[in-house]
Order: sequence, then C-alpha cells, then structure tokens
Amino acid sequence: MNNLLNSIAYNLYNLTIIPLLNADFISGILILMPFVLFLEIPWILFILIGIIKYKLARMKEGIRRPHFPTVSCIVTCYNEGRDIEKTVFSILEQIYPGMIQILLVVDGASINIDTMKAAKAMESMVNGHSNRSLLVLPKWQRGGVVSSSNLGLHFATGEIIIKMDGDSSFDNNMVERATRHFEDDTVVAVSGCLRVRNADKTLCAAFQAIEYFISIHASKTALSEFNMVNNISGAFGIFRRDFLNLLEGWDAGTAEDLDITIRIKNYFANSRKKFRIVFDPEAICLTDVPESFAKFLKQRIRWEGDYPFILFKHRYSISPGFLGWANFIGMLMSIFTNMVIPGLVFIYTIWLLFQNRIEFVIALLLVVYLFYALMLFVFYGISVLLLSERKDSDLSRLHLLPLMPLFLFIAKVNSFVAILWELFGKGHRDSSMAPWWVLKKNKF
Amino acid sequence: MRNKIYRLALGSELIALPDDLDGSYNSVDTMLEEIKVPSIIVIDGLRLEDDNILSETFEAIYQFRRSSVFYAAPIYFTKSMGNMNAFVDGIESKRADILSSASEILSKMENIPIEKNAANDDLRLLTFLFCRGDGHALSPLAVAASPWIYEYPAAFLIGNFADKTIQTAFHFGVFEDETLVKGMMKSSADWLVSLCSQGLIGTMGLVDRIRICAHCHTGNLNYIDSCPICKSIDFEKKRMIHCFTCGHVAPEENFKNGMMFICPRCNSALRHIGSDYDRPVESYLCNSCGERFIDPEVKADCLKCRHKSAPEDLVIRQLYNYVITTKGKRAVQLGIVDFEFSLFDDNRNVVPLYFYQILDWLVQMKARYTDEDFSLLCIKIVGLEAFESTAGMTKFKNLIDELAMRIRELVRLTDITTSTGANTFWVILPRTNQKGGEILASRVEKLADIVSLKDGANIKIQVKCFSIPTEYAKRGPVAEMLLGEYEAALWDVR
Repeated sequence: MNNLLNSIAYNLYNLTIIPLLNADFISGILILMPFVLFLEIPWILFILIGIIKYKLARMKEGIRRPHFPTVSCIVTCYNEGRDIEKTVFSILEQIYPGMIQILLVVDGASINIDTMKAAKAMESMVNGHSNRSLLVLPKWQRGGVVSSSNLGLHFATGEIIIKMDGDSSFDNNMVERATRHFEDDTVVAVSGCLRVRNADKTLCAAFQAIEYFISIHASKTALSEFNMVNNISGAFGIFRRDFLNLLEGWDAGTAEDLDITIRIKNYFANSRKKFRIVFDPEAICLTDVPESFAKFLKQRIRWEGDYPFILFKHRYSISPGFLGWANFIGMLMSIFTNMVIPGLVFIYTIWLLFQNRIEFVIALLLVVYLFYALMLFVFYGISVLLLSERKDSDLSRLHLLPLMPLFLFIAKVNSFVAILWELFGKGHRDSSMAPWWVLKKNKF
Repeated sequence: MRNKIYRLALGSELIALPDDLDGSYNSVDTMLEEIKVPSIIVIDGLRLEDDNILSETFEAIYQFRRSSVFYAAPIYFTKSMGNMNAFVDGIESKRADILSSASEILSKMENIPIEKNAANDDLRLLTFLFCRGDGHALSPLAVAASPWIYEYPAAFLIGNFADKTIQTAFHFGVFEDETLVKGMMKSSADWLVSLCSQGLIGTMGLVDRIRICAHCHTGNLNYIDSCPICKSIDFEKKRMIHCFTCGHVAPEENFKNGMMFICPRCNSALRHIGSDYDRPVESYLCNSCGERFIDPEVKADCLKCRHKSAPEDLVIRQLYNYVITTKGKRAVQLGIVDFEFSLFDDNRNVVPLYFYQILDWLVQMKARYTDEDFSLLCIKIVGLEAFESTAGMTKFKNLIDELAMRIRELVRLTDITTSTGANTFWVILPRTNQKGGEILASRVEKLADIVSLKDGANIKIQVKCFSIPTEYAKRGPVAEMLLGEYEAALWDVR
C-alpha cells in the first residue's frame, strides 16, 4: 500500500513537474489537461459567496405586507393518471389567504382517459374550498406542452402564473414564498426550487437528489443574488402574467423553459429597463426522478440535447450587449460547464486510454477524483447547513459523496453524447414534449 | 240566449268594441244581480302594471266562479295578464273569436243540470271540466308564494276554501302581507287527489314531484344541517392534521404558526402533504356543546309549522295533470256524486274474495318457508256515522279525505287492502312480523286524535295486528273464516 502510494507520488512528480521544468510544453499541457477543472474553484467560491449573501439577506427579511395577489396554477397533464391528485392536493394545502386558480390542461384528453377522469373527479371537491377553484381544460387532440401552457394562460385569471407539471407536488408555503417577490416591481419571474421526492427509493435517485441540490438549490440561490439566474425550470416557473402576455406566452418547439428565460433576458436588454428573475430556495417543488440508471441517462440525453438547439436559435442574442455582462459571463460559464467540459473530459479520457503508463493514469485520476470529492464535500456540507430546510434528509446522503464525482462524470459523458447526437442527428426532433406533426411545423 | 257577451270593465283602457257586446258593467255585484243565465264574460280594461286592478280582477273571477250561475261559464281577458291567464279561458277581444272559442263550452252547458250541480263543490269543479271537453286538463301552476308550492288555478277558485279572497291574494302574490292569512288552509292539490281517488277525475301525465312537511303538508322547507348531539345549528368545519413525525392529530389551527404548520408536540415543520403530514378526516366542532362529529344531521325545517323532520320522513307529492273520467261525466250529467269512501288507493284495494285467496296463499307459504313472515291488520273506525249526521256531508268528506291521505302515507305500496263491511278494513303486510305490524297499528290508531282534533269530531280508530299461526295452513282455505274470527276478537279485546 505504502509502496503504491509512493510510486504514485513519484510518478506524479516525474510526469508533471519535470516536463514543466524542462519546458516540454506539449506533453505538459496534455498532462495538465484535467486541471482545467480547477477553473471551477473560483466559480465554487463565487457560488459560496452568493449563498452567504442570500443567507444574510434572508435573516433580515421582514414581515410580508398583507397583499396576496391572485394566483393561477397552470398544470400541464398528459398520461399521469391519478398522480395529478398529488399536485392538486398540494396546491389546496397552500397556506395562502389569496385566491388560487388551478387550471388542469389535459393534453390528448381523448386518449388519456384516466387523467381526464381524475381531473374531472376533483372539480367539485376543489370548488368546495374557499378561495380555491379548479378548471379542467381538455385538449382532445395532443398538441404538446407549449400549446397546453399557452391555452392555460388564456384562461388564467391570476396576476401571478405558476406553471407546473402534472406529477409534481409542493411545500405548503410555496405560493406564499413565490408571490412575495412580486412586491418588487422589477421582478418579472421567480424560479422555483426543484427537489427530488423519491430520493430514498434507489441509489440512482439519491445521486440525483444530491445533484439537484448542488446544481439547483445551492447554485441558483447564489446566482439569484447576482441576478444571473439562467434558467426557469419548465416543470416549475412562476411569472407575472402581464409580462407573459407581453412575450405572447411560450414559443413553440422544445426546451421552452430555457427558451423563455433567454427571451426574458433579451427583453431586459432591449427595453433597457431593470428587470429581475429571482430564485427562491424556499419555494419548493418535489418531483420524481428516474429510478434506474438507464432511464436517468435517457432523460438526460433528451434534456441536454436541447441545449445547443436553444443556443443556435438565440445565437445572435448571446452577446454582452444583449444580455449584459453579468449574464453574458453566466451564459459562457454555463456553456463551458454544459458543453466544453463534457467534451474535454471525454476527449481526455480517450487520450488517457492510449497512455501505457498505468501508474500515471491511476495517479492522475486519483488526484482529480480526490480534488472533486473534497470540493463537493465542502460545497455540499456548507450549502446544506446554510440553505436546506430538510437538513436531516440531505445529510443522510453524505456517505454517497465519495461516489458522487463518478456519477457526475458518467452524467457529463452522457451529456456530451447527447450534444453530439443533437448536432449530427437532429435529436430534438425526437422530443416527447410534442407530437411530430407539431414539431415538424416549428421553425427550428 | 246563452251566447250573450257581457263586459266587466275594471279599468279605463278598454279594448273590446261596444258593438261586439251585449252589455257592459263596472261591478261584479251588479252583474251577478242582473244576469241570471250563464253567459260569456269578458274582463276588459286591464293593466298588468296596476296592482289594484290585479287584485280587483282576482276578486271578480273568484266571485264568478263561486256564484251559482257563472261557475263554469267561459271568461276571457282582452289582453294577456301574465300568470293570471291561468284563471281564464283565453285572451280574445272580437265577438267572432270569442263565440268560436266559447261555443263548445256553451253547447255542453245545454244539457246538464247547472243549477243543481252548483250546490256541491265537487260537482261544480266536475261541471267546469265537463264543459271544457275531454282534452282539457287541470294543470298545476308553480306559485312561489304559496305554502303548497303548486296550485291548480281553476280548482282553487271553484273549491270551498276558508278565507278565500285573502288566501288567494296571498298565494298568488297579489298582496304580500302574510298576517292577513288566518285559519286553516288546504291545498287545491289535496282536493284533486281525493277526487281522483274517488275515480271522478284521472291523471294524465306527471308534471312534478315535491316533498312536503309530513305534519302540515306545506312545502316551504328549509333543509338545515345541525349538530347530531345537541341539535344546534352553530357548528363549524374543522380540518385536522396528522403529524407523521410524532403521530399527533389536532385541528389545523393548533399547527398554524404564521405562514407555516409547526407540530405543537414535536416542533417539526410540516411542509409537504403526503410526506410530512396528512389530513385524517374532516370533522365538525359544535360551538354550543363542544362535541366533535363527522357528519352533521340534516333536517327539513317546515317554515310554516316549524316541525323538523328527517328528509326521508317527508311526504312525497306527485303533481299530475287531471282530466275528467267517465264516472265524473256521469256524475255531472246526473247531478249526483255517489260517495263511496275508500281509504286506500284503488290499485291496492281488492275485493274481499281476492283478498282471501292472497291470504290463503300467504298462509301456505309461511307453513312451508318459515322465514316468510307476514302480518294482518284490522282497522275499525268508530263514530263516523255520528259525525256525518251532525257535521254534514262536506265536512264528513273532508274528514275521510284527510284520514285516507294519512293512512296512505303509512301503508306501503306492497301492502294489500280490502274492506269487509261498514267501516272495517283489512291490510296484509307482507314480510312484516308481529312486532312491525304492531308499530304500524299504534301509528294508525293515533291518527284518530289528529283528525278529531282538527275537525272536532269524536272518531275512534281501533287497530289490531295479527300473525297467523302455521297450524292453520293444514286446514286448507280458511281466510274468510279467520277474518270473521279476528274481527270478533277485536271487539272482545275492546
């Protein structure tokens, strides 16, 4: 054991420091490739600063002034069946004195009879509650999630629109948390916090729970402090209705969530007015994630594959002039982590396979891995302690952190494959978000 | 002679031309004094907006229908008067139109004893129907202000009701003041039900079904939910919360802490339904006795007599269109209603012979299948003859109607009845044991007090319940003999 460690340390020294001292740049750069990842350190520090900034502001938050705007929840349903009851019940449970309208938009209602039945069955029950109402909007032919959202928007009466999926459920203070930000006139949208409901079901779900916490709960809290929220989740977004009407609703095509975020940002830039998108880590939506690795990878191919498509659609908008510098850097950072890093990691791994020096490979990977694990441990630990409202549950997954870099690596390689598939195979045409006859007519 | 047209002018805006008329009057009293032959009446000069004219019109039609000359005569308005149109034969103002419309009524009036029939309310109504031909039905009219919800306009005017004019006005919303209404009131629908049970009129199409108070038979009911323990109506819905962490169950307000739910026992924050907490049950808390309950008790509160009854105990009233029957026509032509009283519906009331056969069959059944139980009820009404001779035919009939109606409410559709002699009735109660029969018997006996109290009669109802022992089955057809024995026994018991 000691021998092996000695040998690894020796190899690391020989293979990294010696070539640099000898000015052998090419092999030096190749060898140092994985340390590109260290670029993430400033980013992590930046996020941690944001979290602390949020925490301080949150502690000073005063009592809400007694204005409770009317809220419309647009629930896009497809074949969830009786699972939509969970969503509706959790909206009914909201501790919110204002009016909440629930719009169940059932896509393809003629084939999704179970969903339709479940929706209809709840109508009288909900309408018996004071200040809550339910409207079922059956779309007999399937038209996709965008047309569902836009149809819901048409019937919505609330000042605030919450768009959600038919299988998610919410903490009972979600509406209260989400709506309070709109007291600030510059806020046009609030991004809600997605968490994993079935985290304790399988190992794969537990990994995803950690990933969601890091990439959504912690990261977006910090980004929000710098007004750099770069995506409002399609499963859970909160909007000021006047503003949605201004954008004329959601745009046809896939990945409408990212799309509308970029369009909001463009609008900021074009109108030269001050607007904000806020992320509230306490407006919580629980959602089920794929429980098997196969399903998880498949879902990610679908999601990540949309990423270059949206960038391509908005290629002229990605400039500091349009987005503002902070958002532009945020966007570059997100392109970097979503597209460049998966590529680099993938290429580098292949290159490594052609290296014969096995000790060297092990040593390098071990260092990178240890670095990642340590970084995750510190980052996850600090953000759970500062942000989590379910500390027990989040800390119970602490023992999985050593395996987390491996999980993230697999996910990133998978993303890279997805992006390649998108670029060369037109992957976004395969979307499950809308039928082919709708996608065919989309511009992109 | 009879097809003369007279005008009653109740306002200044006259429509009918003087040339079309045989006379014009300003007061009903003068008309009733001067015209002694049934003629056509046209009520003219009406204005729907004028409440005084409306009530005067009502009064006028009522006086005509109560008179012995005009009770069945054709009456017309010269213009439409909304709901009031139901009280007249039509809206006409030209002589030719009036005559063609009234000709059938007038020709039918030729050959019937108009004056004789005027003496009896039943005959007056039957005559009214007879003159208007086979197709004419008495239809129920929904009257929101009436305590009986539905009224039959023609029957309402022709029938003999107490405090007529004031009641009428009240029912049809001409005056709104309820304090004017005094005394016993009876619905026109009740009257038609009794005429129908006598076979003088028949039903033609069911129009509506309402539920009325079992105590006073009016329909202004308030369905109110109340605490099942103390009957107070002051209670509220309490939503409960069940904390998953410690199992604590308490009303929602105990958990509420600002805009959050915090368990008062274990202090954990309950954020998510289904994973942190759930709602075990929706319960109610009575503000007057403090009791908790799941289902409030619903009662129908009668706004007239304030009797509270369970919804299933309310009387169901079916409202039909009524037409005259052959029997009714014969009564009109002869001027006689032969009064036979039947306490039970015709379709369940059978001749004694048939009744004995059914009884024999049931005795055999019971001998063979021991779980097949039934009982037999003997009802004897005492004091009817005495009441008839002192109070007169009309009151007697009303009493019988009342009694019949109340007995019908107690007896089931599957019960079979017969009458074996003066004032003696038998009821077979299938699938009812002796105990159940006795409960019914005591209820029927109590009816005597209710009807006696109302009409001041001294009526006694004796009811006895029998359960036939199975040994009788071996003796063959014994029903007739049995009934004789039992009837004798009833007298002995007394």
